[in-house]
This record gives sequence, C-alpha cells and structure tokens, in this order.
Amino acid sequence: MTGARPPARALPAALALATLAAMVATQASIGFMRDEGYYFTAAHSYQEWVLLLLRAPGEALSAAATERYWGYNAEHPGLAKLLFALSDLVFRRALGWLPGALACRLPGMAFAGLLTFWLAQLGLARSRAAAVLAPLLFWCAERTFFHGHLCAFDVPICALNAGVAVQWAKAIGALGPAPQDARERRRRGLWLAFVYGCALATKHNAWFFPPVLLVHALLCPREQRKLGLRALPWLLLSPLVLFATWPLLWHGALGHLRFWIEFHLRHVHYAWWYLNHLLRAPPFPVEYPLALLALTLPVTTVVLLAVALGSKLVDFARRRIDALRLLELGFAAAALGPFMLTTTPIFGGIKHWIAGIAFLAPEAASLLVAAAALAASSAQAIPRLRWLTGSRALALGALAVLLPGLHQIVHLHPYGTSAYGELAGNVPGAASLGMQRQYWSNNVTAVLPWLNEHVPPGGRVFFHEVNFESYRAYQIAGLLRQDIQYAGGPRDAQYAALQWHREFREREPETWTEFGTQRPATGFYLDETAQVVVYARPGMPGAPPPGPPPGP
Amino acid sequence: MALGGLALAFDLSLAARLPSAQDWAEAAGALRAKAQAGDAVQVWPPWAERARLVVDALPVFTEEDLARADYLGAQRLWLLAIRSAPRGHLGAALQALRSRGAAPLADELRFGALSLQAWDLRAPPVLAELTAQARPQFYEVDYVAHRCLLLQIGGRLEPPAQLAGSVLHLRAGLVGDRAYDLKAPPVTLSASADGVQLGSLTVKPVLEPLPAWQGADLALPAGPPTRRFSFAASAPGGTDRRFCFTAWTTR
Repeated sequence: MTGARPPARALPAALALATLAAMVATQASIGFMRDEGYYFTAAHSYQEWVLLLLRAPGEALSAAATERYWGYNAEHPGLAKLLFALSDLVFRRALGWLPGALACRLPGMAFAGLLTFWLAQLGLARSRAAAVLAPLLFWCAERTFFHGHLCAFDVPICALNAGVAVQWAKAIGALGPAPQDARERRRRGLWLAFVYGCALATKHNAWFFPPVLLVHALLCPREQRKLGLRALPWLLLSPLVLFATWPLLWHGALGHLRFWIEFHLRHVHYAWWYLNHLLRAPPFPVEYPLALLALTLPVTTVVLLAVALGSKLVDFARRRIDALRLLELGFAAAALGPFMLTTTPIFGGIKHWIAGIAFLAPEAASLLVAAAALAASSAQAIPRLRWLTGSRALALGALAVLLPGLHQIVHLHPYGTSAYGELAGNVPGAASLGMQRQYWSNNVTAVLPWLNEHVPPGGRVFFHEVNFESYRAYQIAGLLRQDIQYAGGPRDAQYAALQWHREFREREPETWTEFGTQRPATGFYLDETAQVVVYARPGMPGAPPPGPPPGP
Repeated sequence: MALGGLALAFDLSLAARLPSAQDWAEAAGALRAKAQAGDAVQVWPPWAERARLVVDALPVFTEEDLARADYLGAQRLWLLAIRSAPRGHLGAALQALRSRGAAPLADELRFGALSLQAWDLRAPPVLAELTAQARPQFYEVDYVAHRCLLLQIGGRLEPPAQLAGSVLHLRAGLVGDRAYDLKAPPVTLSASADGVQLGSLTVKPVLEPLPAWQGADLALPAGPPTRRFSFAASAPGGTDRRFCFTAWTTR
C-alpha cells in the first residue's frame, strides 16, 4: 500500500473538479444558515479592508483599521473569511460574474473539491477504484453534501485536515516514495508547514493535528519515525500563515490570540435534542458522535465505515497496520474523540466531526473493492454466476452502497440539517426517536415564496431563528421581498415563521397567544415532520378562516 | 448488496407510508362531517402537526403522553394517525388510551396512509373551567404548549363563583427552562373554596424526563353547588420564575 509510485494527480484533480461542479450546480436552493449570515458580514467587512489596503496601505495597516474591519467575528481566524471576501470582491464586485451568496460560498465549495482531491489521493494508495469510491462514500449523504456548499469552516477544515495527512504521509514516505535527499525533505516539510498553516488559519480543530502527527511518528517503523521527527519541526513555520492571513494579529496579537483560544475553551453549550432528551450541559452521552453518525448517514455507509474502523482497530491491535492506515486511524480518532469526552460542546449535527468520516472513507472504499473482487472470484465457480466479473461486481457493490445516499440527497436536498438515515427511520423515524429536527434556520427558504406572495407591503414577519444577517442576505439575493420587515417577536409581527425546535418551543404558544389562533397559515413539512410553521394574524392576507376552539 | 437493496426499498417505500394531500383533505372532511361539541383530535405520531393546518372543525392536540393528557373539556377523542410512520408505535398509543379507561367507539376509518378512530374518553364532564380566559393564553411547560393562566409567585387569583361539583383538578408548571432548575425551590399552589382550604399542589423543579407539568385532583367537601374559589402561588424564593396553572371542576 505504501508503494513507491508517486501519487497520481490527474484522477484526483478530475474528481475534485467534478465535486466543485456538483456543488456549484446544487447550491442555489440552500438557504442561508445562521453562521453564514455572520460570515457574509465578516466577508464584506474584510473586503472593505482589502480595498483600503489597495487605496491607502498605511491606513489599512494601522491598529485602528485592523480592529475596525477585522474585529468582527474575532473568534475565528482569518483565512477562510479572507477567501470568502476576496471571492466576493473579485467575482461579484469586480467582474459581476456571480451573485453575492455564490461568490462568498465559492471558496467553501473549492475546499470541497480539495477534500475530494486529497481523499482520492489517499484512496489511490490502495487502487484507482478506491480513489473514486473514497470521495463518493464521503459525499453520498445529504449531511456531508449539504456542508460542502457553505460559506463556513467545517468542510474547509476537514479538507485541510486531509491535506495535512497527505502532506505528512508524503513527508515520511507513507504515500509515494520516501524523500531521498535533504532538498526533497525540505520541500515536503515546507508543503506540510504551509498546509498545516492554512488549517491553523481556518479553524481551531487544527490545534489537535500536531499531537496526532507526533504520536503517529512515534508509532511508525524506524525509518518513517526518523522522517517524521525530522518533518515535525517544520510545523513551527505554520503560525506564519495564521499571522499573515489574520491582520487582527498585527496589533495586540497576544490579546487576540487569548480571546480566540478562550472563546473555544469556554464555548457555550447550545441545547440539543437527542433521543427525547434535551442535552443542555455536560456530561453528554459518550456515544453521542458515533450514534449521530449512525442515525444520520445512509445505513450502507454506516456499515462500511464501521467495518473500516473495526478493520483498522484489529490491525492496530495486532500491529499489522501500515503507516498510512495508522495515520488515517489517528486522525479519525482525533476527529471523534474530543466529542466523546462528555464535556465538549456537541451542537451542530455531525459537522464538527465529519473528518472522522473522511478518514475512514479510503479504507471503506478499499474494503468495498476487496469484497467485490472476492464476490467475483467466488462467482466464477458457479456457472450461472459467471457473468459477475470483477468490474461488474464492483459496479453493483458500489451502486448498492451509494444509491441510498444518492436517494437521500435527491429526496432531501437542500434541507441537509434535517437529514436522517435508515437506521433512524429516515426523517419521520428521527422525529419519533426525538432527534434534533433541524438547526441553522436555512429551511425557511421553503416558506419564503408564500411570504412574498401574501405579506402586505411593509408587513412585519417574525423569522424566529433566522438572524438579521441571513434575513438581509435573503433580501439581497432576491429571495425575500425588500419591503418585508424583520420583527423581534410575535408581539410586533403580523406573521411568524417558526422553525420547529424542541428547545425553542415557547415561541409557538407565544404566537398562539399573540395572534389568537392555533391554526397555521402554511408550513413546510418534510416527510410530514413539521420544519417551519407559518402563522398569520387573523384578517391578514393568507390567514386561515377562524379556526376551531383552542386545543391544549 | 442485500443491505443496499433493503435500504433503498425502505427509502422508496416511505412515500407510500406517509399521507398525501388528498389523504389529509379526506380525513379533515370526515372530521368536519362528524364533529360534535365536546370532540377533539389527537394526532399520532405527535409530530404529525400538519393536522393543525388541515383540520378546521375541531381542536387539535399533539400530546405526547396519551395516558396522562387531560384533553380538557373533550368527551370524544378522534385519533388521527399516520398508521405506518417509521417508529410510530401506534399500538403503544392505543394502549395508552386504553390504560386511562378510554374505549374505541367504532372501527377506524382509513384515508390512504391515515387512520381515524373515535374514542370515548369516559371523562367526567367539566362543570367549570376556573382559569378560562376570554382570550386564551398559552405557555410552554415541558416543551409542550399548555393553555394556562400565569400566576405570579406570591400572587392570588379569585375567579367569580363557579359550579363546584365533586373534584377540583389542578395542573401547573414552571414555564420554560426554569422547570428544570433544581436549585430553585418548589412552588406551592394552594386552593380554597368559600374560605375553606381544599389542599395544594406542590410543583417541584424536575430532572428530565420527569414531567414538569404536574397535577393534583382534590376532592371537594359537601357544600353549595356554586362556590367562590381562590388560588395562591407561593415559594420561599425564585419568585422571578413564571408559573402557570389550569383549574377546573368536574361532577
């Protein structure tokens, strides 16, 4: 597996481009989730700084300017948001090629392509089929596919995690030939430092990477251990990328670094619904991240990933695991492990540990290829099954594994935060189980056309979990009428678009009390589960006729 | 490969297991035709809230615990269910209704993926709803909407004289997250009639999944048919919490 061939780039590059194209083609229908509202705002602020830098560099470099323009969303480092800003600046403002939301999202989708590229490289270490299947296994689920589109950090940091793994594997000779001389070692060390620097400048998940690499180096065979221990010090250069792409650090760096670190060490725990319990504070169930993966992903993917994890763990226990598989196992554990400590915040669906899927996907792909080969060779002994050649068995096996995920995407996209797999009983089964119905408020897009049609000019709508930034983004994108006003609550609203959240149920009875009706005007029901319920004050356009007497 | 086939078959069968717009319309039409005073609708599973959108003739309940739900004022309950909802456990819902003494009045009707069945709740008739309001108020307790009246802790409510009957029913809870604040003291809701103390309901903060919406049924001593009730909420601390309650009498 750790063969001497240099990793090919053509196939991974083609797959990466296909991923990017798929993301661009399917992004328009995705609503602007809460965090995107903040990152759009950050991108606009940062691009004003870029323009100032071009116009008046001295002023832009001053502490006042970096604080003013970069002080917004200071809890996350600069790189991803700078890319969002530059993409918007170039593709929307300068060239006018793309609408604002797509321009801001484009870097995130490019990272999705990069993730495919690096996953394919990890798969290619096994076979060409595994190179194709590894990214497909990752993306063929609505949850991961949804995240691949966003102006956010989750897929970028997942991609850069895979990138760090690939660069590290190359630096120690676990992927392709080992570096032969000092110049080659330096070149690979610099690449490793750069990619890790990008990760560090994207999201704090990167804090966990060096310990994984150190442990990996120590567990590797002698030659690879030596190369690893020589490669590690290159990471000392990585903070330069963090510093270069985050102008906020150019003045008062220590204070800003302290704020960044403390923000995440003391992150608030958002309430989250899990198996009919509202998880508000630690201790959280130790199995939570694994259970959520099992319940949200297609069952075929779950089973294959579980077998891949089991296979690696068994080989690790028997000391039969090679350096690349050990590295993948280490990063999968580092992605999932912190969320099994029972004290780490667990909100956000699976997005915070999707790297766990990514690092199991190449092994899972390889196992699928091996299983298909075994099935084909067994079939040759049975005359009526001789049509089952190796390629046919692989095609059938791949279809069997990927089709449930493809169906999930076709059926549920763009409502990715609501997606559940067959083990949960899909979306309705998850509702019966008492699982988080949705998050981030992007499902509100389903009722925007109704609001545009019915709300009178200047009408006030309570958008519930949709923050003001996302509301403005909908207006700018033309998805919501410009004259519709943002209400702070049901009391000062004529309409209320309530997103169904167990933890925010109080807004519905409040709306009933204020509006004097329990009967919705319309709603968005995904496989019959209530996602967004719209109420209108009696007499307003679109309001239902007077309803039955009060219920509960 | 078999697992993939089964998974896909499950995914593709989902549409047939869930009601269509026509199924909902037909069920709503049937309810419109059969509705009587004292009827209510309970949907199952409780997340099947589209019923609120389509059922225009009767109050709709989305209670989660059919054995404990009060269905205040309802004599006959229409169970409107998505029969084959994944993990729907309709059998458990029927068992819960039976466990409270309710009995089916007729065979169920089918409207595609929906079933509709009338149940006699065998509930004693409500004589007076003591906390009724001209404009109903709703609050969330236990993540479920309750029609109830806010009563300031330390406050008192004295509604006009009402029919008394033989039992006074009290239901109460702390609104929102404070229902789970175990550091805060319990709230005592005391009830009296014509100046005679009847008893009290102590509402304790609970740890989920214990119910935060709590109740007591107090026997009324013999007396005049119409009485003047009085309710007072008290607690040794945490008076900034919102406390709401419902009270009614039955024969």
